[in-house]
Amino acid sequence: MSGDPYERLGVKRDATQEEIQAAYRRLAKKLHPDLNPGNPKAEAEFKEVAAANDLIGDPEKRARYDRGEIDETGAERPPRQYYRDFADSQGSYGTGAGFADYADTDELLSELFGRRARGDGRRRGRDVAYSLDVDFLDAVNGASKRLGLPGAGDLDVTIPPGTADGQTLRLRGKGEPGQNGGPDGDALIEVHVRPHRFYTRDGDDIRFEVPITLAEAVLGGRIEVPTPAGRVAATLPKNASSGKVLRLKGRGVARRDGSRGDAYLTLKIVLPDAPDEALERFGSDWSAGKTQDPRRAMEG
Amino acid sequence: MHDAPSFCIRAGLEQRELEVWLDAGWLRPAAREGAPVFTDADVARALLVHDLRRQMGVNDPGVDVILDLIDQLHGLRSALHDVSATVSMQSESVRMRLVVDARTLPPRGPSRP
Repeated sequence: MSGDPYERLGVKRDATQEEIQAAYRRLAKKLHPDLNPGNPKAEAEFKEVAAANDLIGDPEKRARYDRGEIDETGAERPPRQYYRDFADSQGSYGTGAGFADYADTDELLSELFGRRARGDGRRRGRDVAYSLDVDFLDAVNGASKRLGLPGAGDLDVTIPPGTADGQTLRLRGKGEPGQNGGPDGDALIEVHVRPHRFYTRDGDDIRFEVPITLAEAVLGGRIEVPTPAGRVAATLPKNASSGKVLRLKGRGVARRDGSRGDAYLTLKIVLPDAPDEALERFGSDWSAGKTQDPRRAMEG
Repeated sequence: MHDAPSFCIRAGLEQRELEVWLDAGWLRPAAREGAPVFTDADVARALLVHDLRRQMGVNDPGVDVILDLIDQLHGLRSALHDVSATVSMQSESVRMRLVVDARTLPPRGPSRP
């Protein structure tokens, strides 16, 4: 609904709640679709009147609307900024006409008047702040993103490799335009990195858990693992227990100079999803399994 | 930053009203590649013009005068700010000298705080 709710109901701005209610009832009776089967517009008009009543028929909402905190649709309005908050810093509308005569006789004021005249004249545009959510791997490896800004066009943003959560990227000249030939301001983009489902970042390094089978843990061998720098083969040593950490050099976070940090893989042995008969038989027959005491150090 | 349609929504203006205001010089947005670009300052200025006309009963010639005076006012404030900044850069003794000398100036009539 657009338009003033007071006008919709045909009441004055200082109408009492009773007057508003009476006005609404009168209009509802007139416009109710079921009482106006021949009027196709009745439904739309009735809805508008009902919406107006929702807003100013409720004393609390009405007060908020009157104060300008919400608009006719009931949506919150951001707090009003007054022109004086911008006037001094922006200065594109300001003139030196008020003290031009003083500037004629006073060197200091003449200097300042000159600044004003030139700046009436050239003023750098303000910097504008944005926020951008980025996927973990895009931040780690670097990426190009397009930020669509309603009403202000698109911004192509290059995320440098190794960008950290909370980092601010500065795009020169993409802020508010400069006034009369002054330089444009910059766009300041605060980057928020989304967490990854298994990688975590530790400085220039990446850490994650890698599940391995019992056979792989016992026999060792080569397994294929993902890394931010692509899938690689890792060599498992024989007899690897859960918790063992393998290091893959140069498979971590990219740095500006092209090098990379390392990836640290923590092994985690996982048994098959369904109980395995052969494994159970082995478990009960295996003599070394009965003498090994991994919890020895946990006495008391 | 806003393009014209987006600005009109925030400033509560119809497109043709905006044209009139631009012709009148009440708004002087910067231009980027030929199209006007509006800042939050322009939004605030538009809201000020609305307030003058709707809440304070000012007519169009009145708005011209008031905006001009406000612009002069802010020009003066900027200059005053710059003078103050220049004085701050001076040594302690120069600054004290300025205050002492200022006290010797002829008094002005009563001014509202």
